[in-house]
Amino acid sequence: MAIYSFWIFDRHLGNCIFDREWTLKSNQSSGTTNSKLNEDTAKLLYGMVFSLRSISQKLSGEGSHNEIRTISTGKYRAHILCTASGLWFVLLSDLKQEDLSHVLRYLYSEIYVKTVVHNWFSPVDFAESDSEKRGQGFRKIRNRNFLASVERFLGPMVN
Amino acid sequence: MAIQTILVINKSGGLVYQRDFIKTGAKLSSNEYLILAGTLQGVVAIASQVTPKALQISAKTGSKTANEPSQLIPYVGSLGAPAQNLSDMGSFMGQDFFNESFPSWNQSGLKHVTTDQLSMFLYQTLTGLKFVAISTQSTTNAMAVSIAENLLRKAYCLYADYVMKNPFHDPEMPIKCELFDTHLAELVGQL
Amino acid sequence: MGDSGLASEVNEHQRLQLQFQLFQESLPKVDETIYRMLLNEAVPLAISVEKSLTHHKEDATGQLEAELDSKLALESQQGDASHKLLKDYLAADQDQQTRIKTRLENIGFQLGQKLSQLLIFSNNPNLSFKDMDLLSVMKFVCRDVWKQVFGKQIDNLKTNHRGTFYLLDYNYKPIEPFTLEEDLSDQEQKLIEPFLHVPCGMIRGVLASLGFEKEGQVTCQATLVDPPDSKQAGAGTFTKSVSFNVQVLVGR
Repeated sequence: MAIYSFWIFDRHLGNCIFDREWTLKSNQSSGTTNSKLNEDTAKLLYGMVFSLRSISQKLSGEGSHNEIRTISTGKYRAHILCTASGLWFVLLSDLKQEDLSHVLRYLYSEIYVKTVVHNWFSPVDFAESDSEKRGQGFRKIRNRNFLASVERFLGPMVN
Repeated sequence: MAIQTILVINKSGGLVYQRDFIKTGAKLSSNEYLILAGTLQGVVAIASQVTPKALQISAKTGSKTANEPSQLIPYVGSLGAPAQNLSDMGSFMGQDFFNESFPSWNQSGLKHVTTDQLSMFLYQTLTGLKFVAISTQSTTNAMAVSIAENLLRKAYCLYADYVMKNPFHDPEMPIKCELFDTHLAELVGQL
Repeated sequence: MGDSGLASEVNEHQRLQLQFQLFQESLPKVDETIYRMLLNEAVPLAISVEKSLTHHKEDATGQLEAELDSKLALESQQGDASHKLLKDYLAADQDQQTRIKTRLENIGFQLGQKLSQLLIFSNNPNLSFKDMDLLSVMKFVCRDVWKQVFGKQIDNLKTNHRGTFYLLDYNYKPIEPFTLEEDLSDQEQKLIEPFLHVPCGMIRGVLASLGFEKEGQVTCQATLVDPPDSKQAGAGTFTKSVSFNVQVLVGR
């Protein structure tokens, strides 16, 4: 099992509110968390998912809902969970992982909801004004419980 | 796995061929298909830029061995094996065009997308031509992916055989070629 | 004769038990999550009230300005997000913080007073207030009130039998998910304080409704404590334990 990175985007069109990238397969604690250097990658990733998502919605025709699940290239696979509230959870893994939707669901329902939504010290909406929307947001999820839970849950999957 | 649509996109992102094989599917206007083709063209390039750092690092340090073998796509024999009455399909390479596993030219770009209802497969040639198949089944199964890859490679062979050899075809222009149409339909019908 | 008398007594108890159970089931139910969120929202609300009150006091001198302000300001309609109000609490001075805490304690007090009425009137056969002594009242708080409000009982009750009680809750649920960033545990502790004044007030409220109602007779303070080692080792995560220190002056 190998996962490479994990991203959360909020509903303000491209604001990345959390990113975690592991750079060494052999080391669970390698890599970056909420890194400034990942800003551009986050935008590209967002753009890719956004485009393919709009395509898939067009292809499904009227009425039915057709949400995107995975995107694969020759090197990696991106697993995507789009919630009705506009949050996107994106997990990049190697090609052997065929379906990680249960992992994403756990990250949403057990980790995000419990440590961010139920945490009164944490904002629910990370954009505080209009100028922080459309990819201009800079606030990230930084609370201790969330970071620890993510590490504990995803860490063993890195290698 | 039923193929809903096959698209061919030229190297500059223009749609040169589009055909629906299932009547019930969503109908997109020709303009929407053009937009779709352009979007895909862009996403293919973006996808390779998003490649995780862990992979970039391991590629730099030269530990290629882990990734190499999986890049070879296995040959799926049963697919498109000519029935008795189709013995004229194929070329000098034999009836089935090719009969061994082949390397993918699309190393890091977009290959495959799944949604709740559909999957989309993308096969890129060395010249930048892209064959896209939209299937009505959502799967990330490795077998299904290689079947689709084989199918699209055969579509490419058909393209080489019937479009490229057509003296009236303008390169990079929409494909209007009856033989390609019929053989592609046969190929898809065999799935 | 004696045997049958005992049997009917048991049946009587069972009947009451069943009746109570049916009554409990007939009550309208509230989702625990929503209820807890509402209760927690009391804290930002109290801060917001304090803010707008001090704002008005300051503006009393320049009334025209205040009037203009209220007419021109669009934000006043919407109010600030809860986490921002909590940040304001950190910035507030001592007096304001005290006023906020008092306000919260009053909310809890009201809640406790009403709650004990509800719990007693429900005819719960497990409740007995024979002598109305302090210990049985405290047990009522630990067992029934806590169960009703927080879905669990107090984990440990300590007393010196002279009016001092320590009520220990090893995983006080409402504040469990509350965390700030890595290096801000001081602020975190400070922010949790107002949240603990609601249950404090509640304990006082329950005690007041059961006869300990004289002004200043009951004091209650809550502090965060480390859970006992056995609990801490197993969980692997930091759970917040709260100790409620209740002082009751008796025999006056």
